[in-house]
Amino acid sequence: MKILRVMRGFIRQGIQVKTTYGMAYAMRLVNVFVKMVAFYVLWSVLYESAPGAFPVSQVEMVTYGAVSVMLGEFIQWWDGPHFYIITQIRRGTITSDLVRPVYFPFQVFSRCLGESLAEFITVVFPAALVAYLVLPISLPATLTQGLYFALSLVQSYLILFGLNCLVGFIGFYTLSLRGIQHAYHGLIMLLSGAWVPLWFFPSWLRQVAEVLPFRGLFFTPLSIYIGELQGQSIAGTLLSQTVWIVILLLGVGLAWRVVHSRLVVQGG
Amino acid sequence: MAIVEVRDLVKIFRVRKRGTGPLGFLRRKTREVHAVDGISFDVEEGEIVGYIGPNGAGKSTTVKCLTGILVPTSGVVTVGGLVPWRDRIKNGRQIGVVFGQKTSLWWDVPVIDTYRLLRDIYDVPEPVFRRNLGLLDDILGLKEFQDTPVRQLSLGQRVRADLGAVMLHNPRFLFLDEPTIGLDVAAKERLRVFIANMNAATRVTVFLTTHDMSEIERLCRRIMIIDRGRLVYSGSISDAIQKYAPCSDVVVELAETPSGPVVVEGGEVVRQEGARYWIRFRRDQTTAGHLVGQLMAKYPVKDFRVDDPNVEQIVKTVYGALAPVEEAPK
Amino acid sequence: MSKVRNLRHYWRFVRIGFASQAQYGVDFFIGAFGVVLLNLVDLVLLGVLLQRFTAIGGWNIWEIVFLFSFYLAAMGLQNIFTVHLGQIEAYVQDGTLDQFLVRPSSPLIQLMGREINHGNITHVVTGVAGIVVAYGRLGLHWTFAEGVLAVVLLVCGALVLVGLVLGLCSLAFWTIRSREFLYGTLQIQEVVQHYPVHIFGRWFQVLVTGVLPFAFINYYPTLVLLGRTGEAMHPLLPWLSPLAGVLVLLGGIAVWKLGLSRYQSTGS
Repeated sequence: MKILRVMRGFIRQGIQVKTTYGMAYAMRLVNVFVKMVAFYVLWSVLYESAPGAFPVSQVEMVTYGAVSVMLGEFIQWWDGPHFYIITQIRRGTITSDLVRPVYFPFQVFSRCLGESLAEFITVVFPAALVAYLVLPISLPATLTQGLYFALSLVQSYLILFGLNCLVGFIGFYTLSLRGIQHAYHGLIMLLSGAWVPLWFFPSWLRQVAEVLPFRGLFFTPLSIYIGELQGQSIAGTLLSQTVWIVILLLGVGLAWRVVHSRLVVQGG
Repeated sequence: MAIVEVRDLVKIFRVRKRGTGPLGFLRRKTREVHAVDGISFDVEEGEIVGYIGPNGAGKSTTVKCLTGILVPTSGVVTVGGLVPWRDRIKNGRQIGVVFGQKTSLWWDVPVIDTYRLLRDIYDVPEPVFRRNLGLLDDILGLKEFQDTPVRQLSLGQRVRADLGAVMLHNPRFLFLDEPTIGLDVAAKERLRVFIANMNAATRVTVFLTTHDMSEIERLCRRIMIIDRGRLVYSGSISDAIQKYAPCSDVVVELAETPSGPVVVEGGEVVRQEGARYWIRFRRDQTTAGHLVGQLMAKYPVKDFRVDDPNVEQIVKTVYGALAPVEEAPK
Repeated sequence: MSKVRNLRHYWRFVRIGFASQAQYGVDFFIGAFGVVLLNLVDLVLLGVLLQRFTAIGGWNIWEIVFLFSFYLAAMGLQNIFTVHLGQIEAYVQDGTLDQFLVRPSSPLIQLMGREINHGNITHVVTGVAGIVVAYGRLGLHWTFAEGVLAVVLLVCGALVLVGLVLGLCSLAFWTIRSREFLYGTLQIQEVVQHYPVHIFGRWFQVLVTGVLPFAFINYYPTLVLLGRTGEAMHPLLPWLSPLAGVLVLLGGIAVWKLGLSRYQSTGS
């Protein structure tokens, strides 16, 4: 299948780029590990000071933190489609992407997926291995829980892709991401549950977060992983992720149609 | 009296190459490269010297040792009585360096602002600065763009601005490292005129490394040829021509091709295209006139010209006479 | 090479720098907006946490805000002047460094003077604002002397960072990927900025005090200014902050000089 071949190409490229410079590679591993340890210490300290404030056990909380770091490194939410699109426009090389007989959003997707998988192989997997050996973190309780986690992870990736793509297309008009980028990243930091799980939020903030797609990025998969979400509620959250995916991907398709026609008319 | 003295200059680099494979950065091979392998020469004040050689011959390394950028492995270098790398600050005041394609000016600010900054760095007194500025404006036409930020200048203007910048402090020595790369013919000519004028007006000693033969021929009375770290030739251009390209060609076109080979005393046919013949002769053995006379007596000569060798041919001979230089794989 | 002359040159660079960064306008404000926003989000998250936990390692929210803002201001101050040091790596490789060496002026001053980043004034202002707010909320009352002390400690904190950045960037003289070392400390910097380091255990405290002295940027000065010097490994340690600033700066300059002399004997 041609798609798999293309994907393999992107993955290989990604791996090469990431490991060519041994020092850079080692530093990234160190950084990821430091981040995990930092979360571990932070949550341990907080847990010991007030165990009653947590709806989960200490192990589960620490696991949330560590897996959050790994998840973040994997989906690379601060980088991705939007920057790729903008760079291509700026450089003018977007024309070569458009000439290929592949649907543009899909090109972007496979490229980013290749990067992420390369990242997983080179950084996330080794870091996870070390983390499991060194820190007191756990795996999903049952196989089914693990499968639900995997599913929500896939959906989280798709949601992020949709969001980033839309932001990238906005960049078509502004030719720069600077203003939106900060606000966008701020929203993700705040509402995705990457750092502070949503159960700590004051109720009004929690309600806002529930309505937006960002919690599907981190909070949903992580809650499933540590078992804070069980049984029936899982179905509901997974469904809400799917709904967002549909909305966002439709949005991407629409936006692309508009942008494409504009590009064709105006040139680079 | 020589103002630049170089004795047995040696510069050895240790080059480390990565091993292959993913863990290549752990396995490394080291080897020594003798970039400059015992060079000695003198330069007199006010000379314009051309320094030529194939890529990787050690030209840049020599210049870097002369300007204080590199510390030699061994050998003695004095420029205007100073040791460049040891007296870096003092030496800096008496030299000006132009590096090929790279500008030494601030990118976003008007040229004149960079000039004022350089005035401070080089401690040029204000009246001297103003006078030099006027002089440079006459030669380079600076007023035309001196208030424009450098990034908005055309290549030709930028080169002029760089030249102005390097002369503001009346350096005794001017080092030009491949200054004409990427320039059009008009700009190259302007550069040549500039160097000649500056040399005439201020007796600045010029050290020019270049691949451009027309510059060498028109500017330098003396050239030095360096190959793989060694000085192969040092002397005047005319002597070099005599040594390395002692032959000239008489190119003659005949009205009709003769039945047999073209034979002429003192010359040898080296090439033929239809009715046109290249006849090579040694200038110290006979003259073009003698050959042409013979040809016109024996054959129906329609047209002729004389091709004398130029610097490019010398260089090709020199490069060719030595073992082939390794070309960097692209 | 007279120091006064160096300073005069640098002053002229600064003036040129002002002229060259004449893009005050939309671009600047977008950047400023981003800085303020992202730091605010950071602090909001910390606030959410501290709503439930009242204290991290014994520090309440406003003390954390003080700690965080102090780092922000010092970092902003440092960045204004040292932003161009990141170019050392590029200049070493493409030979631009040579231009600095043929002029009768300190190459370091020329390098730093090449680019002055006024944009970072936003970080300084935001940081100072945070300090002021925390000052009010904590009910502090400084005497004039204490106010001067605060400014001195802030400047010295910036000096520590300048020295560290200079030292790490100077590694470009030895290895191609020096940037990666600087990047490698990013996570540690983040940790030091957000949390009082004593919660991370003794070995970490030693790391950020003796090896990579980031703690002298905000942690120790904050201990002094909030009267918590007893929490340090040794109560006199926080008072060494000004000395640390000078020493780290000199250390950074020493690494630079060493690297430069290596460049001059081995080329690039």
